[in-house]
Amino acid sequence: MRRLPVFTLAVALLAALATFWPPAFAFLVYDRAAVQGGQWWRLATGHLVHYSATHLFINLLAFLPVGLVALWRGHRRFPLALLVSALIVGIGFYFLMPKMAFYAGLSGIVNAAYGFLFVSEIYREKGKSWLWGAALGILFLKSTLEFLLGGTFFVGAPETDNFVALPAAHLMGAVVGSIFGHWARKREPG
Amino acid sequence: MTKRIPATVFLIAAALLLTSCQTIGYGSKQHNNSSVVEYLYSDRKAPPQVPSIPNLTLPLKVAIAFVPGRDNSILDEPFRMELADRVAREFETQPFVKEIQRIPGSYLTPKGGFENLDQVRTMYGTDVVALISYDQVQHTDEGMLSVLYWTLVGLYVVNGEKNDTSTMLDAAVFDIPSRKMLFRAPGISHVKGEATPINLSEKRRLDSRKGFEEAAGLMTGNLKKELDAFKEKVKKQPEQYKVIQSSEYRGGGATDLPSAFLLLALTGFALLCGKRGLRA
Repeated sequence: MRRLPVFTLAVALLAALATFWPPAFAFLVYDRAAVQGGQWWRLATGHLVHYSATHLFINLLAFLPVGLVALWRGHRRFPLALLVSALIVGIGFYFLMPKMAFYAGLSGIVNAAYGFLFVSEIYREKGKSWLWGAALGILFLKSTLEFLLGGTFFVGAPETDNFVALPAAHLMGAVVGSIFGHWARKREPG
Repeated sequence: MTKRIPATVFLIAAALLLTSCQTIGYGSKQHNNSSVVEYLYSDRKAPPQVPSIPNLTLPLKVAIAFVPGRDNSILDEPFRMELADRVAREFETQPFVKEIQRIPGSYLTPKGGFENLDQVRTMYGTDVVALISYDQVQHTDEGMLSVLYWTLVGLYVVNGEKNDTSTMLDAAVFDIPSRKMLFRAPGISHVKGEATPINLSEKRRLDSRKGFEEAAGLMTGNLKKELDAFKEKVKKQPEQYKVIQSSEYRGGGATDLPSAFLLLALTGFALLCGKRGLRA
């Protein structure tokens, strides 16, 4: 019997709570001015909150499967990978995107999760590593094209949410997650 | 022959006195200014402009302009742009500012009022403008040492002229459509200097510039404080300022549906084709 993927479900639950409970949203959202004022946790927690139910739903649709697969496949450093990625991507926003006052959304971490999983599996399934390598290549191709074209590859964020989807978050997430996957695999036995 | 020597000495002394007397015994004052009030509200026949509640669409596009003065030569255009750059740097650090436009001096007409600012708004697409005005007074007095001007050497060597330069720079930030002043930040400097009559004009010019530079430094420091205070004011008095956050101001990590399915498909395909499926 498979173990309950507690971490993944906890992230999903926290994201829902942070999105729909206004005090939690205000406390956790990436707010550049508040970060400058010393509330540094927002660098990482900004990924948990969302601007609307639709925003949350689509991100969870992409996150839950990769979270479940990563834990069921025994990637023990997956939770650490996501926490580190959340912080690094947040720091990236702070230094590379000084004009952005607010940020919310899990998609940067979703891309970090996929990057981590694909790289970890390349090392693990040596016979079929090309499959995971191809998946990783497509992830990077998509993220890079989004970044270069300045928008999400397929469609933009819902108009009603009044925000701009940030392709840079996807690319940063994919890079950080992949690097962490490489680092973590070198430290795991077998 | 001996009688001629005192006469020669007398003539030389008289010549020296005559040369010096032009510069002795006079204090002088120079006053240069530009006024926001005069620029915006000089047309007394026009009905008074009543400010309304500003609609601030974030991030803001801000224009920086110098209010035209009576004598614009005191601040030449390159120096104005240099000062405008300093102000711009303070705005640039603010996440709610998207773009800053430096408006050339020739685009603002004396006593142009809000009609002139409306033209600037149309040209540059900026709703908010920081109007920089100045007021500089230079006093020159003679100190005790000026008595030495009675000699030619003294005129060139003794710093008996005392220059006193007071400068105020003021940045008043207006929302053009609502005619409302959002906040202002002043910078005041006081420069004391000494000069000989021969280099007085040059020293005055240098003191004038130093005064502006010091005042600009203080003004930008105050501008930072006022910007922070303004942000708090907007939060505390939402009935006074309507803030609209445009999409650019808020970033979001959004996965679009096709991307979500693509990522799922990639993972599923790799799992199905792999050896172990979901097993570790």
